Amino acid sequence: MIQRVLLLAALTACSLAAQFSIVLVQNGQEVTSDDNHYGFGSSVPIGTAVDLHFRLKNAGNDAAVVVSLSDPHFSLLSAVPATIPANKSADLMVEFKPTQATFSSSTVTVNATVLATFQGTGIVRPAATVSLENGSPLPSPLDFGNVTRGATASRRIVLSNPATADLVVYVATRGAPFQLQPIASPITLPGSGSKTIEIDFSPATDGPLPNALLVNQQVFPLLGTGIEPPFPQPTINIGLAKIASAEQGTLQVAFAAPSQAAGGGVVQINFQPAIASANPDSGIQFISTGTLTVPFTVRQGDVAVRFGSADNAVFQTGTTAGHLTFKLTFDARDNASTEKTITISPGPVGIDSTQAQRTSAGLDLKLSGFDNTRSASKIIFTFFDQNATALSPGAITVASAGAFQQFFESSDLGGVFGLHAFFPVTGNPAQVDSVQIEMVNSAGSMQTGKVRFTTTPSTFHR
Amino acid sequence: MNKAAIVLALCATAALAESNFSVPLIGIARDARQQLRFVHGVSGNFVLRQAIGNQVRDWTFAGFGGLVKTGTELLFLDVNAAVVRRRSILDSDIAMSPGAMPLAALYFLRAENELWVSGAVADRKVPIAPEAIAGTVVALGPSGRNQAVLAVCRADSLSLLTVNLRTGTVMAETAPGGSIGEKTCSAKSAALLMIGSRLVLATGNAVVIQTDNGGEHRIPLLAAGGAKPELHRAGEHWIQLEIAGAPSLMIRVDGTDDKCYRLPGAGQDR
Repeated sequence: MIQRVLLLAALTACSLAAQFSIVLVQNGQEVTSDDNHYGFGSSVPIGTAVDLHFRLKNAGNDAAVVVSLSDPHFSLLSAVPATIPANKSADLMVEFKPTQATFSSSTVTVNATVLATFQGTGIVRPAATVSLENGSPLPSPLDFGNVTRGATASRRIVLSNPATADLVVYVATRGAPFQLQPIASPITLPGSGSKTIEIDFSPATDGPLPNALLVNQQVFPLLGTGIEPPFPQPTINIGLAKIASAEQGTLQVAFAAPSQAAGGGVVQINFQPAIASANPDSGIQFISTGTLTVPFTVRQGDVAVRFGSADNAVFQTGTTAGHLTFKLTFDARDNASTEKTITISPGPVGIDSTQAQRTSAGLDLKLSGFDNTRSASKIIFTFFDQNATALSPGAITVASAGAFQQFFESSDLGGVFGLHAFFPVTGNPAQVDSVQIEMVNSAGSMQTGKVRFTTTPSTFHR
Repeated sequence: MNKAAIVLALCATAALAESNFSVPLIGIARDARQQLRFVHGVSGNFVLRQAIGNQVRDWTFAGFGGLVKTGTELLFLDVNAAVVRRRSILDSDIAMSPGAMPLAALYFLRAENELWVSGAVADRKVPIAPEAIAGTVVALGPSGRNQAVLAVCRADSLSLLTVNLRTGTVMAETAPGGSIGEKTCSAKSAALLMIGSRLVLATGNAVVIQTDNGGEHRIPLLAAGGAKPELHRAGEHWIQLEIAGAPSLMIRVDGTDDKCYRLPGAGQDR
């Protein structure tokens, strides 16, 4: 009874140990040999190689793995993992490369257990030779270089039969993205004959894509790298009611054709002021970010870039004369940047708002505006009575160049300014009905309409 | 003789010092990060500056002061938008107006049905009877010395009540016409604001500005999914329009040409 229990325990322990098996993988399907013998071919020309794909499976517990081959004509091309977890497998690439015209056999031992036997026969019969069109041997790998997704790069090779008898040549690649033209195989090469075929590389994904050309089980490594296609030529379009200071405009970027590429980038505003050593103008910015840059994205098929969910980015022109350059840069290298420049011309002072209030002590005048030349030099006030008659002595000119200059030098808001002027009145201020203001800068002069003095701000009346 | 005296005074004082210059303050507005911030510049050239506060529920500001409502307080702002006083209030609905010099700011606490006039030290409650209002106050504004106008929704009808701020009596009652009269109380999501003599209504698809002669100017909008627009008096001539999921707009309301601009995003505090 005790013995039976011990036997059962031993069996249980065995069932928990690693259980390795090896199978051949052909065209993605597992093929099992009944006698655990796998052939690499009975006529493999000396000096050529035949690669076969095997799968080492572990049906037991996690286990460390040591694999060995007994014959040096067979070798493992792929690295063997240190362990194979329970119910997992590892793929192995095994190469047979005969050095003499003889039969070779190698056992495959895994953790001291022979799992299978590999067999192959080398022959002296010359195989088909493979060369470039200029007759030089095929480099290893035959590199197709960088090819954009959706495009095709081709290389032509020549298959030759150095023997006098016909030679049947099976030729293929390991599949996409490499394809042969013509695709028909096998090809019969007459004695001393040759045939040119084309290998096309058409990547559908990015990155290195190793592959191989198989000629009668000879293996010639192929390599190509898929890269993102370039973006179509972008065109920057600016929408502005007028090209002037203190304007909000839109920027759109259209493509010459639907984009095959996906990605993104930024548009940046570079400002070159017309005024030497001008302070920065923080009014120049993209609205959505409040900065000088705005990111964009592009999806495959887009005919314009996207700024978030919008097809345009709103920007402000600021209040300084100069050149606004919008530079578009893609994140992906190898895409040329593009630029568009608009020129904000120097202009007379712009008045944005005025507020004229009459108080018991005098006349209070506030105005805000901008001088995109930052050169305002004179302010001329003309006061009017209720009959629109200018009050004596007429226009009162105030030289203001120094005061403006001092202010602009301390401001980072471009040419924007607010002006507060108070005029004490010793008579009756109610006699002053309105004021007209003229401002002069290097680009000319600007005159407001008559600004009426009020006693209180506007309130609700119906 | 009087004219001569005035002229002499003007001549004698018409000089400008550098200290008379400043960066113009357009008003205050809420940025994309929900911070209430100073807005400097001129029309079409806005620059957001330092934050006044976070967690702001509502605000109103004109050139001479304003109010800011947070979850727990009502903040009183001076001409430079600096906080000069605070009052603890419940987190309830409020209608606010910055007033108009010399009239101080006004606010109406909807839950309590109370109209208040702000003062330098304390506020004064206007003794208006709830039955005189008989509806929901949706906006208010000053109307000359010691008077205010309350915009009141009574069912689907909008009424404008002119209230004496000393006695609390309703001195006049009118019903505005146009689409503002028609839609303010009946539209699903609408916001009304009084600015100067204008009524401004925002719905999901337009901003309508009605002048004192009843003429209306419409600015089309496209609010996604029936989002409720919010209108805030941002400055003397400025309204900020917020609609969830859409860029903030600044609307200049003065003269004959009301113009709409985009408010810059948060950017960096400058």
